[in-house]
Amino acid sequence: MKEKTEMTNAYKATAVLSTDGRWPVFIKLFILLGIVSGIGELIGTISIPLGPGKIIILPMIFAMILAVAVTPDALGKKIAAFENICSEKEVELSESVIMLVLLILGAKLGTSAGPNIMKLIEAGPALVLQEFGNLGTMLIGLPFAMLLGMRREAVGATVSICREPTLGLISEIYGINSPEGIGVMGTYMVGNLFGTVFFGLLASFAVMTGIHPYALAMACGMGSGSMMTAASQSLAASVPTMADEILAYAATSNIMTNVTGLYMELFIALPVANFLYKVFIKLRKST
Amino acid sequence: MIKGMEKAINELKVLLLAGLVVLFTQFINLKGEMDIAKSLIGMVMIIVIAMASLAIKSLIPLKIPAFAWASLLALLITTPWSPMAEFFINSTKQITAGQIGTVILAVAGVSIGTKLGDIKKLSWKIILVAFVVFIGTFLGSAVVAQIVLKMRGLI
Repeated sequence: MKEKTEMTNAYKATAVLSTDGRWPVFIKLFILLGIVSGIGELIGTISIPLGPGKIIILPMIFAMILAVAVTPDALGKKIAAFENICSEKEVELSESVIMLVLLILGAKLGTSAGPNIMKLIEAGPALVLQEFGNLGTMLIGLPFAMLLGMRREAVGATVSICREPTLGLISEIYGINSPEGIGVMGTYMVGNLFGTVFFGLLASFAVMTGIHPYALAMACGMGSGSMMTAASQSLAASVPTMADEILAYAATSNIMTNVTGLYMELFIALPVANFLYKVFIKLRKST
Repeated sequence: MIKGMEKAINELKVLLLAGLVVLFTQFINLKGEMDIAKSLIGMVMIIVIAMASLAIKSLIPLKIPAFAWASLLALLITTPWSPMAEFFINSTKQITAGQIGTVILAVAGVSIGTKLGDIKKLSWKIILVAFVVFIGTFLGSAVVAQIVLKMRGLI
C-alpha cells in the first residue's frame, strides 16, 4: 500500500516537471517569480531600530508576501485576473521547483564554507556538539504543548523543527494521519508559513542576548535551507563585520544537521520525546 | 533508465530557468552593475554541482538530502587545496545567497497558495507550539555552541 503511494508520488513529480505541452505553465511561473523577486529587491532591505537592536526585513520577505498574494487562495479568489496569472497548475509546479532552487543555494553556501575550512575545523567540536542543542526543542516545547492540552500530537510537533526528513520519519513510524503525524504536519506548516520570517527576526534579536555571533551563526543551521538563509542573512546584516564567518558557520552547521539530523532524531530525539511524554502524562494525571 | 534520463532533463530545465531568474534578481539587486558573462559562467557551474548532487543522491542509498550533497561538493571545490577554487569563487562572487534566498521565498510563497484554507483550520495552539519549538532549537544550539567555543578559547 505504502509502496503504491510512493510510486504514484514519484510518477506525479515526474509528470509535474515534464514540459510536454506545459511550457506556458513554466514560463508563467518563472516570469512571476522574476517579477516578485525583482520588486522585493527594488524595495530593498528595511531596518527598523527597536530598543538596543534592530529588526531587519530582507527583500526575500517582501518577495514571499507578494508571491502569496497572487495565489489562487488569496487575491485570485477575489480578482479573476489573478487566476490567469497564477492558477493551481503554477502552484503545483512550484512545489516541485522549490527543492531544485534550494540546490542552487546549497552550492553557493558551500562556496562560502570552502575558503574558511581551517576556521571550521578549529570550530569543529562546537559544530558537532551544538547539534545536541537541537534537543532544546522538545525539552521546552513538549511540556508547553501538553500544557495547552495536546496529547500524542505534542510528540510529533516538538520532536524537532519538523522539516521534510522529520515528516518522512514520523509518517514512516506512526503514519501521517496518526496524532503524531498531525503534530509534525502542524509544525511543518507553521514553519513553511512563518519560519523564515520568525527565524529572521529571532536571529537579529538574539544578538542582544550577548551570545557570540559565531555561536548564533551555528544555531542558524537547523536543517532547513530557506530558514537558515533568512536567519544567517539577518544575523550577518546585524553584525556586518563578521558577515563572512557567520555565513560560513551557518552553512556548515546546516550541512552537519542535514547529515546527522535524521539519525539524531531517530535514535535520540524521538526516544527522549516518548520518555518525557510518559513522565508528563503521569504528572498530569496525578494533579 | 530512460525514465531516469527524462527526469534528469526535466530537472535541468527547471534549474536553468531558476538560474536565469536568480541572475535577473541579482541584476536588479546590483542596480545593473553586474558582470553578466562572468556570472553566467558561475551559474552554469552551480547548476552542474546541483545536477551532480541529484545524481549522488539517487546513487547512494543513505537518507541524505541532495541539498547537503550540493553544499558538500561546493565546499570541497572551494577549499584552498582545490585547483578550481579561485576560478569558482571568482565567477560566483556576484551570485549571493541573499538573492538566491529572495527567489526561494518567492517559490515558497507561491507553493503555499492553495493551502491557505488548511492552515486556517489549524488551531492557534500549533502556531504557539511551533514558535516555542523554533526558539528552543535556536537558543539550545546557540548556548551549547557558545559554551564549547568559549572553552576552546575561540571567542
